[in-house]
Amino acid sequence: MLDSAGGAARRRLAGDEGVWFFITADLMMFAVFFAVFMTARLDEVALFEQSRQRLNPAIGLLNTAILLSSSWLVALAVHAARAGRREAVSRLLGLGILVGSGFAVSKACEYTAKISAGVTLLTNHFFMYYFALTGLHFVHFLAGMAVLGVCWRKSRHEAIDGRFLVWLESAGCYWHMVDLLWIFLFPMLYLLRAA
Amino acid sequence: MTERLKYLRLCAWSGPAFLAIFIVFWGILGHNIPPLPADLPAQAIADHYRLNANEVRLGMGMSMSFAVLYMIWGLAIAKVMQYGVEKDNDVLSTIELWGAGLTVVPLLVSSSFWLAGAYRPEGLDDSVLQLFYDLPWLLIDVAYMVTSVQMFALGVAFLKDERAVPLVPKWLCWYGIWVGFMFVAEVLMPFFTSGPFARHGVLNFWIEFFIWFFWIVALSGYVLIAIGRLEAEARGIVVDARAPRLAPAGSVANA
Amino acid sequence: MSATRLHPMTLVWLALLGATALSFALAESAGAVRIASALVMLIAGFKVRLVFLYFMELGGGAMPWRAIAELWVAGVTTLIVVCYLMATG
Repeated sequence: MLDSAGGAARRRLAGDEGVWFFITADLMMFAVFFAVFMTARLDEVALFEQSRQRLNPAIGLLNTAILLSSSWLVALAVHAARAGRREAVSRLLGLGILVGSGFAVSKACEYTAKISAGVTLLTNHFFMYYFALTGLHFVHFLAGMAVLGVCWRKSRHEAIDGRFLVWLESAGCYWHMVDLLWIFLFPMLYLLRAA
Repeated sequence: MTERLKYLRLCAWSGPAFLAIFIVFWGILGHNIPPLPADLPAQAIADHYRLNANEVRLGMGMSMSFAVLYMIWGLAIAKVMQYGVEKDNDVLSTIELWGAGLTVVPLLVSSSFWLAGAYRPEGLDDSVLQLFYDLPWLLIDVAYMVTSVQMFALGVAFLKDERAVPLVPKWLCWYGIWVGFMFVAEVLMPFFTSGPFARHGVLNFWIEFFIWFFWIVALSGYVLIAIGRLEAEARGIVVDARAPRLAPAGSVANA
Repeated sequence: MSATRLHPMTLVWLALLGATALSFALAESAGAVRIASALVMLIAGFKVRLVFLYFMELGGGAMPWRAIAELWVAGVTTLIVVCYLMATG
């Protein structure tokens, strides 16, 4: 139904296998984090609920929309690169980075607001996980911005060839991983209501 | 041409040797695998030093004696990088060697603090002994970046290997880069005395240390095999159909 | 990317935004809190699967990565939902 613009069904892996190994290792690590958080929540449901209510879900929602949109632009850039459209690749990647950087801005606002309200990772177990998990995710986000930046530079100065495509697909897959980790983190931290 | 590869096997075996000694002496005799929980009262830590003084003395003595093996192992890796994958640029192998060498520093210095705790524990206050257990853990964990740069540098260098069968497989390069990256979580460790991020926690001890141990074992194996392959290449036995390798201009290299 | 037909990636993006809006509405809705929250996580799992299959292009079936991704989504979603439903308070 949603085949690539090229048409032919692709069984080939997008990006480098080694990068996929990295992504898999990261996914497993975050699965452990999710398990640790959810089991810790079992012990202190009331505290987690009361702390969760101090988060602003609108910011989380905005961050989800930002990452989804940035991911979408990067996916479009990969398709443009396959079609050899250099201008489009640069433009889409630039936009993807621009939109993605909004995540840093809103996260900075969110952290600042929390810390100035006296809420830190030492406040209680919920906020320990909140800061640690979103912080580690943020480190992944920064690495993603850096590799997208490298791709953007390459798209302006180097040939749009097979080599570049592997770079771009690998960076893109990593970026989508940053996105999908947030897709779980957002409802898990902000939206799970205790009944 | 195989002259320059002399001693390298011995150097490469220093890695597994280091690890075995580290686990037995630093870990088991030194009571660091698993670590004493960070939320124990000072008295419990003091009792540990008073009760197990001789074990800790022996454990840390051996740990300090053999910590340098990690640098020698790093040299084997650096040489394989230089002769096997680097062209006219030894920046990455230099960083790798410095990373391995500097990793020895927190190993040595932290071991000396545990040793100090075990030196005359009957004459010291509980809180002082507790400090002598906390301090080395803070050092050995938060100094992670010296090891991370080793992992990054060799990972990037071996990823550029263009042999049909690379000297170090791509998954292991990426695995090392991932481990180096995951070590960042150690920055959280000073904030906690319990939970997954504490020094004895699931993440900051069990995962972080064992993903590093596994990397040492796997990489040592491939480095030993790589030394054999470099010898064969030096003798003119072209194992790889695509060797010798030529660097395509403007390749992935210049990231 | 013709002007008249949406790019497949754009359809995926719109689906993801729609699912996000739906799950947010569910999370803010009154009543049936447990079912609503569990549904929110199931929708998250569905969104993650869309990202794997279309943005990360595992839909073609590149093995073993496709299998790993599917198992991961199923495992993580189940884990979170089960832990959530087990919680009493």
